[in-house]
Amino acid sequence: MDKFLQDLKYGIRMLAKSPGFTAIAILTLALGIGANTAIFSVVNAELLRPLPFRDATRLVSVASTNSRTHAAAASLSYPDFLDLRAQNQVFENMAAYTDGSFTLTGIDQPAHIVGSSVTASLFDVLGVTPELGRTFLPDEDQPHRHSVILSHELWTSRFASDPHVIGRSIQLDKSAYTVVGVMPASFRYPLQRQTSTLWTTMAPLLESSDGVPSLGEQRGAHFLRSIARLKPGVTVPQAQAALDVITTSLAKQYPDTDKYWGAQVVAEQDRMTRTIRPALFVMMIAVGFVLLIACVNVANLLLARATARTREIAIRAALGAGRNRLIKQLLTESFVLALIAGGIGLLLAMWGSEILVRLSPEQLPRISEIHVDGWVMAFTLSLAMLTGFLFGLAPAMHVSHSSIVDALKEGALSVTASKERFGLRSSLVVVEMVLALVLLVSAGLLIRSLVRLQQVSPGFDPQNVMAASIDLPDAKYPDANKAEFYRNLLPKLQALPGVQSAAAIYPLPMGGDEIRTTFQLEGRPVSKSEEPVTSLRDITPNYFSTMRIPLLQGRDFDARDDAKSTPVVIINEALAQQTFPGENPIGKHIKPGISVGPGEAAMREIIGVVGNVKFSDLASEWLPESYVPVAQLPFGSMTLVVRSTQDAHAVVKMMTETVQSMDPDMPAYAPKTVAEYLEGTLSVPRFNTVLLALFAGLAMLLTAVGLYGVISYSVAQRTHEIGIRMALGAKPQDMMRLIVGQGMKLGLIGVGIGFAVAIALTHFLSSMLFGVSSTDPVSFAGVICLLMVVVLVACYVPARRAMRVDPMIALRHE
Amino acid sequence: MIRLIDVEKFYESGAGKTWVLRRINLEIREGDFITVMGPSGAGKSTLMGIIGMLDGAWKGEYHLFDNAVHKLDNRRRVELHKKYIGFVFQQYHLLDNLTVAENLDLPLSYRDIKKVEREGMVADILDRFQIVGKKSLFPNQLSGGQQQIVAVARAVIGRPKLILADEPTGSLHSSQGKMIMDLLRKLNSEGTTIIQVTHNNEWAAYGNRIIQLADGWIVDGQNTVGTVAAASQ
Ligand SMILES: Nc1ncnc2c1ncn2[C@@H]1O[C@H](COP(=O)(O)OP(=O)(O)OP(=O)(O)O)[C@@H](O)[C@H]1O
Ligand SMILES: [Mg+2]
Repeated sequence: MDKFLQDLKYGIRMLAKSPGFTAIAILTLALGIGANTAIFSVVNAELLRPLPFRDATRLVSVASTNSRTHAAAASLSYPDFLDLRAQNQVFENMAAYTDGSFTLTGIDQPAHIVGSSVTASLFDVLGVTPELGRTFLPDEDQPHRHSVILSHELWTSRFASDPHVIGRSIQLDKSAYTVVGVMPASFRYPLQRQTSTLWTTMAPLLESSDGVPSLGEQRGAHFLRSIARLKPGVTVPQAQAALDVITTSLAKQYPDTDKYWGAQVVAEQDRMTRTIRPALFVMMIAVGFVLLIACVNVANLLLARATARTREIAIRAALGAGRNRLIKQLLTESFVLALIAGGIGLLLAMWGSEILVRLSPEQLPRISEIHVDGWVMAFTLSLAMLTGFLFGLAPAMHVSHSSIVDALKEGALSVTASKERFGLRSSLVVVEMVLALVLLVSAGLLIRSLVRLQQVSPGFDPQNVMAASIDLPDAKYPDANKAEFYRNLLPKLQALPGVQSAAAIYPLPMGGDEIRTTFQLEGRPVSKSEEPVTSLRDITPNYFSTMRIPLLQGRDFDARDDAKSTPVVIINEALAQQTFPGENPIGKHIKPGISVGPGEAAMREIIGVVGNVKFSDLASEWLPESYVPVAQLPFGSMTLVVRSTQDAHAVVKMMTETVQSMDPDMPAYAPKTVAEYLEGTLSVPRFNTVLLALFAGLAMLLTAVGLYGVISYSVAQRTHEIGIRMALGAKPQDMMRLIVGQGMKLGLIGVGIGFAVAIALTHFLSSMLFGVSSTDPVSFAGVICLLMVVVLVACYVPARRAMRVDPMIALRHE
Repeated sequence: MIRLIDVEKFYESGAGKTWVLRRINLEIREGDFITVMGPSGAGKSTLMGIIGMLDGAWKGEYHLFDNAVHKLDNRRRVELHKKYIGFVFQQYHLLDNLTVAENLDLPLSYRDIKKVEREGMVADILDRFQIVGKKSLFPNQLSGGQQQIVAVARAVIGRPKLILADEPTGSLHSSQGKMIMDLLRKLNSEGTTIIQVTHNNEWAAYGNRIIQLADGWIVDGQNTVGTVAAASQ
């Protein structure tokens, strides 16, 4: 113990004596440890840690597929869900849910609430119990039973944690719901960034008005996500096989809707992380590279120091220090180094994971569960320590008691040993360069993809357009009155100062929602299951001018197009080309299979053709699309879009006030500019790009430090030689060439190997690239040039030192 | 105390062997004060290294008391070294990062001695060498002579039975050299066996026996001090 303390004291002093070495070694390790721990904390929360439910590995998602449109992971219809649930033998229980938005009135200000409509079975599937009251009873799924369960958060914020809230009646969308339970604070479902704060049953979705089948009664209406709990011992493939049998028989039973339909079983955790997993995987590899480079750098530093310390170690050996004792002392020093680095690394990791959370895109669902993980920390720290130990021991390796005399001699290291060590250090630098090049090329590819993506025109002008949503509750606004509300509201919005034009749409481009429906072509009947598909948007007049979507043919909707006039539709270019190639679509008729209110869907006359618009994200293909006037297809939930002459944010307040002047119980919620929505779709690629660029930059910096270290060490070693050469008439430029040449040789070897490795590895990035190939010559050439410049700079500084060697001093020096 | 029988050492060089020591036969008794002399490159330092067990690559027999050193492994040699030998290097070889007191403590820290005891021994030796005032200084804050004094003190502190001093006065001013030599003589009179290397006849006269080395051979190991002094005149 006493000896350990002595070693510790001496170790700390040694580190303090060479602050440059210590600072670089510690910082290098800390960065490696910090970055790894931060990324792995995210990976751990997202991919590795089981979902926060009982026996979460048995939870699976059931989605629908379509073999004709190649759609996957799509929603289910309620009748299909009920059949799957009733007929399967593989699930303990099965639930369905859909996001909903509710307007809560009767308490303070009217509030827009994000909630879910769920089957009563959901809580049983998840295996959760409420904090207060109970969860839903099976028969609460029946129409006209309006029950609601509150989240802990909503209960505390809106109901002042009222212990008697159970049994209380609250107003949602102007109808009465009975509170039956409150969930604990830890419960979140669905596990997404903006999660539900209340849950109602399916009942409201099963209530038809005017005798028309409700949403929940239509087998063709796909709007539900589903989660199920596997029976113990049943595997995902077994469940899949079982559902395949059921869907095959349903397809025969209901060919109109289910002919191409199938069900897909995926582990729930896999489904949730599908979009983010490839990126996280790439990040893991990238930070792994960074850690490797950091370790290589530290190894290099320690090797350089080993040479300088050979004399010290030899003296200690001569004074009676045994090999074990020497090793212990060196280990203590490495230990101190790794410990300090680990401490700083931990701070960096905590700070880094916070930044990651802040930067993280919507698609990262469980960010509240992200925290620095002790195991990762321990792992990276031990890796760093191992590096320290391994290379920190180098000085002891070259000194044994039988060769102290040699070790004590002036040059300390024999020429061969020092050459050997220089060779080792050079190869380490080459390894660093290879890793850095792979990272830099990957970052380059992502940056070029992002630029390409940002250059893609969305088909509309997103600048200066504010969007905010409103819900017209059916109870207060029957379908006949909805269009009128918009007809009155929009001119008021348009009259606001600074506002150019205003309109409403559902679903908003880039907003995340989509309605797809099949349509019939007049005069070209096909069987129902073969009908083509279109995306459908419900809009008010002036939508196209507000969004600056070009009207290519025909006319926009206007006041003429009301509930009583000819049903009309405007299609986009993609639909025109797909369905009417070489023909003029104006005046033709199609019947999109969607209706509100009594009666069948209407055959609509095409009155215009507009430009294509990217609806889900910039990377997606153009989709065939049809626009229908809200007057002929009244929707309660719409998004208002307002184009203003200056900053779009300036109109938010006026928008809300205008809406509330028409109905004080109606909030205009989720205000966000269309540009922000567009940005949102770029958040995953941007997140990936920023992170990878960061890691690549870090790798490059560390590599430069490593190369600089090796070259400047070799200059120091060769001072004597350089002195002699200069005394014999060599010019400073010759020395510069000698040293830079040495570095460039290493650089070229590193770049050469790195090029080959990068070519072999970058295709793993393919799924993250847009508009560039994984062997994009521009990225490769750019990165190689960049790296060579870095090599040049890293060599130049020590080379200048070599140029300035004074032959007299250098020769006396020995 | 020490018996060397046919000790030889060579370095492999290009074509063949370069002999550094040839058939060294030597008997040293306890209490001897031996001076090794000879021209540069004769093999003096090499011989000291072998006796001090800082060099393991040689042939022949080396007996230290009852131990056949040539048959011992490295670890046992380290043990023997620690037990019996103090070494003063030509170039001091103090550790730059340690204070005088810490440098003195270094050999003790490699032996199983309790901390309190070690502190006492360091204080004692500082006192004996009259360097108490320098104990918290670092080597580069001392003059060359002071550094050599510390180096001798460090060799002595473990109370070795044998002190090996390779040109302990090599680069010193003669008055400082005399101080070191007086110290060695005092230790010798207290019973410590001493082997020194020197080029200086005056310092050679401090010993009771001179061994002449040339090209690795002992050319004259039996002379008394007097004859050497006479011969050199
Ligand atoms: N590593 C080595 N390889 C080859 N020969 C060596 C090596 N080390 C020493 N020698 C040779 O061994 C011989 C003896 O060296 P040593 O240091 O013992 O001489 P010395 O008598 O102490 O000389 P000086 O008085 O100059 O200190 C020298 O001729 C030297 O060239
Ligand atoms: Mg010598």
